[in-house]
Amino acid sequence: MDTITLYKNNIKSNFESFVRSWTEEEPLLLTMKVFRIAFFSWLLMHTLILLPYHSDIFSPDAFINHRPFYPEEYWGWIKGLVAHPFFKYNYLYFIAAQIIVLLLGIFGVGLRAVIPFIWFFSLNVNHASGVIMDGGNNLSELISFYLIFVNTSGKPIPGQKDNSFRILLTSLSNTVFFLIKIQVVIVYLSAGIYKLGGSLWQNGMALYYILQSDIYGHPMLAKLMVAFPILSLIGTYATLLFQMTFPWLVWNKKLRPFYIVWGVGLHLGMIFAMGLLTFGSNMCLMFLVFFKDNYFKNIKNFLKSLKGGTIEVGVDENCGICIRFSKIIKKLDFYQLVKFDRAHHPESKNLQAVDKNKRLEAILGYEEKKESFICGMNVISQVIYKLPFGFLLRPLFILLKFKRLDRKIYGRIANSKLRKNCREGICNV
Amino acid sequence: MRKNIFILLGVGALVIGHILMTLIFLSPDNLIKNKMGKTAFNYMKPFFYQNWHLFSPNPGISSTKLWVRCEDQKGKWKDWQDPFSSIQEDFHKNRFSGKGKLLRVYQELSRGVVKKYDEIKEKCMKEKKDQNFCLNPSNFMKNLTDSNAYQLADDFAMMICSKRKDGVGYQVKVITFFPKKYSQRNDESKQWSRVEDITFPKQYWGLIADKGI
Repeated sequence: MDTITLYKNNIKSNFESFVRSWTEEEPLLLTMKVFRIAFFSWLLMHTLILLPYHSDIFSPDAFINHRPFYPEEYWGWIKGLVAHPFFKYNYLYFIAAQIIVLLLGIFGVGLRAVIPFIWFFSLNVNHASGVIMDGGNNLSELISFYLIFVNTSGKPIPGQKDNSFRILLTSLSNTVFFLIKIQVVIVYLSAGIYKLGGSLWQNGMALYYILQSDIYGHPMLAKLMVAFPILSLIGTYATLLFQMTFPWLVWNKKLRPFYIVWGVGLHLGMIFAMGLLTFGSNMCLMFLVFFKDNYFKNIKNFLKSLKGGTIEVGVDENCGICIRFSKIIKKLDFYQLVKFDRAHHPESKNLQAVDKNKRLEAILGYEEKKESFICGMNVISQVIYKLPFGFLLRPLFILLKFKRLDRKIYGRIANSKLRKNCREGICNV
Repeated sequence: MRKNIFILLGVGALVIGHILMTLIFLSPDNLIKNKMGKTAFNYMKPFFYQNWHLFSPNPGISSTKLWVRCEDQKGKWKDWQDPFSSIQEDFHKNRFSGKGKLLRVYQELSRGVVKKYDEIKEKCMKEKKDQNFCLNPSNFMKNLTDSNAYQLADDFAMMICSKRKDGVGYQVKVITFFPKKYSQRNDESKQWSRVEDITFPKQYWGLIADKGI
């Protein structure tokens, strides 16, 4: 084989592996999933923070110039439906619907169907609050639209690798996720280019004047700037340098962590000094898209190691409430530390070793690390601790131990009608 | 493999097209924007509109406030008050509450009036080129009070004063503070570099209502 043929073959195989990496592989499954959870949590936090002031911000009677309804434009019926005369006094329904779909989105329920609704309701909630929306809200609208096309379930798209529909979905997911990265880069590039034309950014005094203002400043920081004007110079040029170099250097593996730390610092400064909570926190979130799966896997493994090993749980196949409990836990078991098994006919050798009557008396668990059995409410509490934020319920379970309340509650549930609602035979776990 | 290439090319073309439109839409005036700017705008406007001009090219450095004062039945005017000072203080103490956005809502009342005044000023300067006339807001009081921006501020002021049992009238002032320049930072004699205000006419409702009109 001559050199030219070798070159051709080499180029061909490189090209094919490039095409496969975009159309068949999903190397950022965990990154996409973590980003989805973080981003939807941010949207939820944003709405919940504003909810106490809904009549001052979203209501048609609020002292605010509301964005109008655009009946002649097709998009007016999508992004501004809340302003329609029929809906404008029912804005709370839009907020409630947004909260519900966001919760579904955070917990990963029906993502393909739910994310378009998240986009729709978020657009409308933003439309209702009109002029006070900032860059953070603007970016969130774009990102929630992009996420419609991204596989954020954390699981590979089902189907054969050569299936056309699967190839289409995978290509869309990968390229649109890449588009999210480009969008973040565009934000900084655009902001940086416009700042370069400003005299206050050129002479390093921008931060000094921003912090003197009432809207974005703080009396304490204003005084600090007067006492140490060099801080303004450093802060202004650091911001400019970051915005102008981030779009090019964030792609470099070695420089990326440095840029992310720099960016997070910059935006935390914006949150605390200038009060730009929405924009600052959203931009901090955006850095998540630049991480590889391995990074999250390492964090996950570290957090998993803090949870103290797996637990095997024998669930009575005839107990309806137990089966529902196990299904919910399976959904929430991010670290996959809970293994559910059948109490009547367990597959686990550890559970098999226990007398059948004891297995059915109360929910039984085997802690692999401690090599010990627990039962009843102790199993429930241990199972909940294995969930990502389960530790938050620890005080509740400690309180329940007082006067053996936990046993009384467990006894109530175990003997209630809820427990026996399987129609016949053995329910599948 | 051919199927993969075909699909990737289609999806890639869509995404690259979208990126190009975004770049054209956001770029400063240039040759491409002159030719394709309108197409990019029409494409971006419905769902992809974006603006990243926060603090650029120069940050807004002034602070605009809405001040309100009320008149009681004895004809005595109370002091000017900033109805949002407590929200501002709370926001300075806690950056994570929704008070920031609430403050933005109320700040828009005064900023809306200032924006309207700026528009009128600009138009006046183009037409009359008389700085002394154009920079005096009282010359445009009719235009200002007829504007939506003032109507919102007026409604708000009326709400504040009508909460007082003895309130019969109210007045709105929009005041803009410009911070001391860097070169004046150690000058203790003044707090601000300059202060501009637009004081609107007094408004009454209580006395008229008392007379049953």
